[in-house]
Amino acid sequence: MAIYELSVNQRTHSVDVDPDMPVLWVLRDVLGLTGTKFGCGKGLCGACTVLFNGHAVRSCSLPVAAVQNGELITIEEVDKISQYQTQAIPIKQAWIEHKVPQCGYCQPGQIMSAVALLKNNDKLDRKQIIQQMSGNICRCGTYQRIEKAILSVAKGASDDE
Amino acid sequence: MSKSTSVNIVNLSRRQLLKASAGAGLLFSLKCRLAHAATETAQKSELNLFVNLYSDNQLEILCNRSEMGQGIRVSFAQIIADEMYADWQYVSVQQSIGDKRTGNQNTDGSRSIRLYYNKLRLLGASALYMLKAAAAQLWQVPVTQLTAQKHYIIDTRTGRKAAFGELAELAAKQSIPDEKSLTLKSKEQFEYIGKGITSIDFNPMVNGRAEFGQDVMLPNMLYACLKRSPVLSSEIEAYDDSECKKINGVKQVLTLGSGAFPAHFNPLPAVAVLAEHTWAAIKGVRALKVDWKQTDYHGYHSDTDLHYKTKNLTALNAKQRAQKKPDTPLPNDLNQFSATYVLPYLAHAPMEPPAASAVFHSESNLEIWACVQSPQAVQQKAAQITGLDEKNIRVNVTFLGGAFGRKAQPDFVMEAVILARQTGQPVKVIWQREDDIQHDYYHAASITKHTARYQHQRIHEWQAETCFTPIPSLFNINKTHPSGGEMQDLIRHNYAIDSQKTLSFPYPAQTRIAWLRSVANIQHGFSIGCFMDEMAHQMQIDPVEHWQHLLAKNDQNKGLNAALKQVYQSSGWSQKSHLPAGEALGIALHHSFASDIAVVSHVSVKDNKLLVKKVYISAHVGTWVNEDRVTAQMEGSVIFGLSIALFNKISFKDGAVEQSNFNDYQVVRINQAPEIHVDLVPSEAQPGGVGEPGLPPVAPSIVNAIFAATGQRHRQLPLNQFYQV
Repeated sequence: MAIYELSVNQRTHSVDVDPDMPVLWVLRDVLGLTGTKFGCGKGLCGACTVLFNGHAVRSCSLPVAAVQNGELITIEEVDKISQYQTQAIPIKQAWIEHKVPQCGYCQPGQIMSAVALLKNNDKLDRKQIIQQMSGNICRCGTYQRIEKAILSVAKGASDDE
Repeated sequence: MSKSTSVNIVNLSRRQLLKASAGAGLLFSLKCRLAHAATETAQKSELNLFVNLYSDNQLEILCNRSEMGQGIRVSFAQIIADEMYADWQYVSVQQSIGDKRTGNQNTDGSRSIRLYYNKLRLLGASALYMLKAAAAQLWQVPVTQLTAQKHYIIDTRTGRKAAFGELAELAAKQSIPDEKSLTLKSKEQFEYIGKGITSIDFNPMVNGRAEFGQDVMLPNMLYACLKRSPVLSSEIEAYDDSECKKINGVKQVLTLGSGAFPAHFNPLPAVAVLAEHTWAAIKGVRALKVDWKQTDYHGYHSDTDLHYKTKNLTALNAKQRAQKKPDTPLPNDLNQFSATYVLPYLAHAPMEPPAASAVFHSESNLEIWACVQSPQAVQQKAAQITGLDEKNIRVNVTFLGGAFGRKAQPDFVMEAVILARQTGQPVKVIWQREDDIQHDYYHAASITKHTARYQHQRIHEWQAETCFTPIPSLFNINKTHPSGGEMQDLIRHNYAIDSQKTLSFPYPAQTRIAWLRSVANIQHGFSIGCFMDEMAHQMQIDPVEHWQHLLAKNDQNKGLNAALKQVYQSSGWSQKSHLPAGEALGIALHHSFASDIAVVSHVSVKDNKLLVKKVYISAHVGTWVNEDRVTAQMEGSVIFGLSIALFNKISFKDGAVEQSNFNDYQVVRINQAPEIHVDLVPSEAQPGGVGEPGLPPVAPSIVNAIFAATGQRHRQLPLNQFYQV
């Protein structure tokens, strides 16, 4: 066990856990932030996606020891943090306008991937969206709506179709 | 999907349903902070079991069916709110606990709207009647003089009006109206029913605030992961937990379960690691060493067995299941054609792996939180396991992160119950993805052989022979032939084929078999959908023309004919010859769950790379409640069916499942997802099923399109064994 000072949603938390504990379980079991979901534990499905220093990462496969010097952002607060609001507020709105969710379980991870995608590249076309979102599985099959929701936010996007 | 354990709504009098419940505690507010928006001071009045009205106008509607993505919560609210003339801005939904008084809660078989559409309309109309009666009493005018509009009761003579909230308390005191005195809206009057109203659950879902089974947290809770028996009926021989107990946070190691038949909803034999948090439990399970007892099932190799049974099908013990005798003798000189279709075992793989939490508040008082399709089945099974009275077992239903039939089997809940009792502490059982893939209640592998005798573009005789492990084997291991319900949709006496015979062959259970989205219709829809396409080719006619011959003008095929007509137009079927080389359309139709679906897939096969470009799905589902959620279910059925077509296969080696996670049990990702065009065919009929019937025609339409594009006929899935996808 060791003490880690973590920045989560711009607040510092001190947690006493094993260095190999994945960020996912720190968020869910230690900090009670259950919006980040457990889907596969192997970085295969994307349900656990969070932002680490602005990049989408699979928190199930990222040990806590690796995130001491950086900033974690989760689904609960991403639209309340100034540097992500430009992307996160319209993305969450687009998710509702396009009626994306079915069961809703994978959607926090999908949204976090979409926010990172838009943050790092605001000129997106359909191909890029599909390529970048292929790490997030939705078993209910909401893909068509995810694509449309992201396209609607990526204003000025060139739709190559 | 029907089950012997289900409680039938018809056993419950309408009077009971309409009656306001006695005492508090029926309406459980989900811990997901979805609680109604009523102000703290607003007074609650119960107009019936499903309708609560607050003095500040908030209208709380009970949903007794589980929400797993089908949009049942918003749909239930739409029906009641519509008949009440309620204003949607005041509507919220409460998830019911397991409670027999609410009727059948077993959320399977695409039945929620089918079972409840008429009942909910009456419940809404009844609540409205009581509001009117309250206003009539208040104003001393006849009820007939009153009308309702947007959350107000209005006096048509004077124009005065009262908001629902003002009348709530007095309304709750009115006597419950007789069903005969209720007037339901006409279709033209519907304000919410039929519209694609945005789900009330989207907001918490996109903000990470919707609570799923995996998300439940209780004070002083232990987190449990389990190492379960990998082979049917294999029990623990010995185990070593010395390394496990060295792990930080591991608190206890316990054993549970039994290998005894029937499998039912019993926990599998397992060693459980209980810990301070999930990570310690996961590491603890990895550190366990368990030896399992050898059983007869250790010899099972599914590929070998399926191959053997396919080759030697007729050597097995056949049972004739149905026959349609020709009215006139069959013509002579008929040609004959046979084909055999083989499908593998399938897993559900919902995005949320099973999870359940349980706590004993006292020796005789148990509370459960779980993502379950059937909370009453949880109560029954938990009562059986613990000896408690069902009424002392409270089952709170969370959101289900997908289910597809998996969460109708509460074995995972029983694990939590047993461990909570053993430890005397609240326990959450977390299934990892590997647990989910390797210890599912699988969809049965199947072999289906079709034989047709035909002449002049008409099939005169059709024999269907099928072999798969029946779901009743879950409750009696000696059941080896498909049950009547599982055979039902293979028998198509309404098709214009004079002579028909349907046979089944035994496939003894080698694992736990249960319901997966659309159930036996997966193999029936696939084999019939492919075979009729093959027959069209044999008889040198267009597949659509062949389907028109089969359906003819039979009234029972009205829905299928309507769906066929629609998909023919939407897909541009008549123009299909203009598609570029390597691209083609394929079609399949299927009736199941009282709905009729036609699917056309547009595929491209180039350099052995298979791409499903676009899927057109036309659905004749009777009256629908939420247009958007029905459309979403059709989109979802296409993706689910595509996963079955392209990737899904569970195989057994030495009795154990070979796959373990999304790397070797792949499902469709966004880069493999086609564009989907959905048509809902307008219909005045009673509501049909929606969640499942869209799935069966998807895979055969793809296989038929591949044949049209390449001349290659595939009679086995998944297709990734033949193509790069």
